[in-house]
Amino acid sequence: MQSNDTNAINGAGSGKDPEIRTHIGKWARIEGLPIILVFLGLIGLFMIAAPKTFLGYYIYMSFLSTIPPPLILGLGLTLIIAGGEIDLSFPSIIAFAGFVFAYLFKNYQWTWAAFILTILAGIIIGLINGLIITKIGMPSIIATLSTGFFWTGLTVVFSGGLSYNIAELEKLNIYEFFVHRIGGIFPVQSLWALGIAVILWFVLNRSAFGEHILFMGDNLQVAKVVGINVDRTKIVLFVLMGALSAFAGLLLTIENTTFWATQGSGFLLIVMAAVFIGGTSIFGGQGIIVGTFFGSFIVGSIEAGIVATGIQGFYTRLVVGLVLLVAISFHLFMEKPEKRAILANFFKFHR
Amino acid sequence: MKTAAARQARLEISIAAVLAGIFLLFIIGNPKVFTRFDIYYSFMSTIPFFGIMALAMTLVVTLGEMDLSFPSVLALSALVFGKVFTLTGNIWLAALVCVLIGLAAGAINALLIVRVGIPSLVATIGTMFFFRGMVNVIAQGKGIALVKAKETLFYSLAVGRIGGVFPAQAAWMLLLGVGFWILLNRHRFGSHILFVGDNMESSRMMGINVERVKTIVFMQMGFFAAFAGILSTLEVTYFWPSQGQGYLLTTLAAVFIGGTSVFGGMGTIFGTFVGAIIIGSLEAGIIAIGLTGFWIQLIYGLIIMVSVSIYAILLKKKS
Amino acid sequence: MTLDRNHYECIVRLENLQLNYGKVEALKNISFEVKNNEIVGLIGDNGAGKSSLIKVITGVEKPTRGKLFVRDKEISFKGHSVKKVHDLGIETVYQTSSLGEKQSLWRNFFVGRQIKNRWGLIDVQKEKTIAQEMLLEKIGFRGVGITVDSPISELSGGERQGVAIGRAMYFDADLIILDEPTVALSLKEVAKVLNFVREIKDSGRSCIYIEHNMYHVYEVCDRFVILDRGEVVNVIEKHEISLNQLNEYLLSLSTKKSV
Repeated sequence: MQSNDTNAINGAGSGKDPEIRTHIGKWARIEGLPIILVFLGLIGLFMIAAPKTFLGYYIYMSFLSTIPPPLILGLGLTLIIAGGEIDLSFPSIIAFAGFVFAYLFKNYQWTWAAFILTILAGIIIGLINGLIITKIGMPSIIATLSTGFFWTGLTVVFSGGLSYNIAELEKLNIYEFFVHRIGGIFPVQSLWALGIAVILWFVLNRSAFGEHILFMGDNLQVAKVVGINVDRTKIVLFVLMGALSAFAGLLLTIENTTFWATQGSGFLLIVMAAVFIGGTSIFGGQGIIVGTFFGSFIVGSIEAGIVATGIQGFYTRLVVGLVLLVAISFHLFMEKPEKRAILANFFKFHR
Repeated sequence: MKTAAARQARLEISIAAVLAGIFLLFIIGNPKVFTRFDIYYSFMSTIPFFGIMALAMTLVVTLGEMDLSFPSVLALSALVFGKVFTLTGNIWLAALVCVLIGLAAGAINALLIVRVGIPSLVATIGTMFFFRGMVNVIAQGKGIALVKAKETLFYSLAVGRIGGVFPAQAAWMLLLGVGFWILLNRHRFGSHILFVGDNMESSRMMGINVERVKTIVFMQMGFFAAFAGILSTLEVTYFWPSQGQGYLLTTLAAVFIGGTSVFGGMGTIFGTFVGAIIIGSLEAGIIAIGLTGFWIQLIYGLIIMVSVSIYAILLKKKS
Repeated sequence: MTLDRNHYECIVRLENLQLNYGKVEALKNISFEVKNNEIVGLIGDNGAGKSSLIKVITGVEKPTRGKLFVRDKEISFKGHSVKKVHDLGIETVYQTSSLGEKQSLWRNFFVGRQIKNRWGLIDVQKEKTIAQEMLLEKIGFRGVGITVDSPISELSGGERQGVAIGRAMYFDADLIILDEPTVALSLKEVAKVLNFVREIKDSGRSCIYIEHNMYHVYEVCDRFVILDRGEVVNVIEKHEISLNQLNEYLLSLSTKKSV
């Protein structure tokens, strides 16, 4: 069974030596392996270049508190892109959800009720996105571009452009539940993010819903003829993204105990970069959860790494751009069987 | 062909109607402001900066591609413009180098998309970061003052006031609008863009050099981002490192409101032109009729949704 | 699933079917039937309405007017969907759009009717095992490097048809619809498809066979239904006409059009 599967990965009928295929195949089966290696390599590099920062635990704890929100967004976006769609409205959902929570807490001292209503807001926004895309037939890029404007605008109007300080939240259970530091140092939101990653992996790769997403992204016509309810799948997909975005916004707001009207606006391109670095293709039909997971860590750690190494922070965007372009070129390379065979030859085992 | 042209005409009439409707609302809402020249002067000075890029972007979208890097290209070329001018005092040289940088940036995009094969959305996210990164590194977070430029002929040609009243950049946008229209609708290259956007493989088989078409379209995008960079920098005689960032979504919105199809194969320059005016005037218009500026984004969102829904319905009716 | 497999006259019957796309009449008042254990060849030029007819039967399109009967019982178009059609024992093998290119073979086999384990997730092991059996035994893949994990993009045209047909066979359809199944296939692969059609007849099932190539269709069909511009222009039993006569008739139809 195993060698059959690995044969498939290495190119059908390429007629290559089964020895190589078994060895490469075993490793190639691990989802997102290249990105994991890149991430480890990057950290290794940082450890050498800035040992004071990267050999201690503090920086990693810092990552584990800042990366979860964009990570969760990236995981949701992975499913959306796998389904052949795109969502540009998630930064606005971050803002709007954050506002809902902060407003309800500040004015009514609601915590758990506020939490539920926040997620509900995300679900409703996602539902609206899904309905516009399926019932009106608007391409998702335009639909979510406009709803994005709308919800950001609404957030600004409602909040009057002001930021809300909700430091009193710190004393309450809900604060501990979402952003507690285990043992005083380990941020619990990273566990939330991990949990969501695991769940979404199973949803995408092991559930019927996930399979429907994959076929929808692969070929809409095929999806219809094999009996997939495309409209319903799309709507549920965007509702899911809405809920996840709201949750990410919640984590962000609670961690900072502040809401500000432009929160999340910087996430748009950073999150997309993380997804593409992770190997998910813009064309849909596949989604690499593990890739997005480590891609988010790569993107999230670059700035800290650069600064700690003594290089100016100005280089951050440049490095992110380079990493993205190199990563995507690599993924493109690996997609072609002939090129994989070339790589396999490097690892040839001689008897 | 008759039906496609009729469909496009219908789209263009709808967007013109939306524009008329909006201005009607403005005039009713605040007749004092909207029946005088001042507000229109303000429109004419600010809209062209992203309007010109929207015109160039129309070609990209018609091709079936996307370019998200143009705000960074604008900033990078404006930075070079500022640096060269400060160093040499020669504004014409600065402008030349600036647009060359724009062309080069477009060429890099084209290389990644055509030769390496990275999908344009992803490639231009990458170059967007990369070029902005270059701006950050070179500018070191500092701006560049270009007050001396005001004395030059170039300044008057670029952003001066014609007859003391009419902002030159508006004239440029008008001129370019006509030029782009002729290119897309009457020139062979324009029809190549339409065909490639419609069906890349068929176009190749018809003998169209698809790679060349794509390369030229992305390079012109870079060129006009640089041009917009010159105009926007000269208008305030100042360059700042985050220049251009605000234009990303508004430029795209102008193209989409205008009716150009995100799937490629169809493009309306007139639509983009009107779309840019709508987007650009909303900001000032909303404040002028008494709503606070906070409503701007919300109304952007509504307008885009409404107009694109109209298109979707118009297009659905046909099938 | 209690399907009354044997006691019906027509597996599928359409009555006064009208399908309009806006102003265009794709199907004009069509009446069409496939009897129990019958192979019907559906012939017509491009745009005649063959695909539209199939789409209505299989629930992909809803007609403007008309009735559908499966196993002599009327089926409402209201809840009619591809899923329902599968439950009714009707499977379709399309020319090109049957399979998801990037998805693996085992997923393509079961998509839309996944086998689930007790947690509601897909039972991957089971699906792979069954797909593997079908591959080797029924379809006879001894394929070089093709396994249940291979993405469809790695399969040849004939292998893809093999998967689509194997899928239809596995789900035990009473009516199998083949939409131009021999396009772009090698001669050997065409022979396989024709054998499969004969198998359908021998096993007591029915088939609607859409084809342009008269030499293939004539061999295996019992009856020919000829469509032209949305209408049924002729229904001919095989014993009433020879291959040559059929070819001549179709030629005369197409030349009549250009007048």
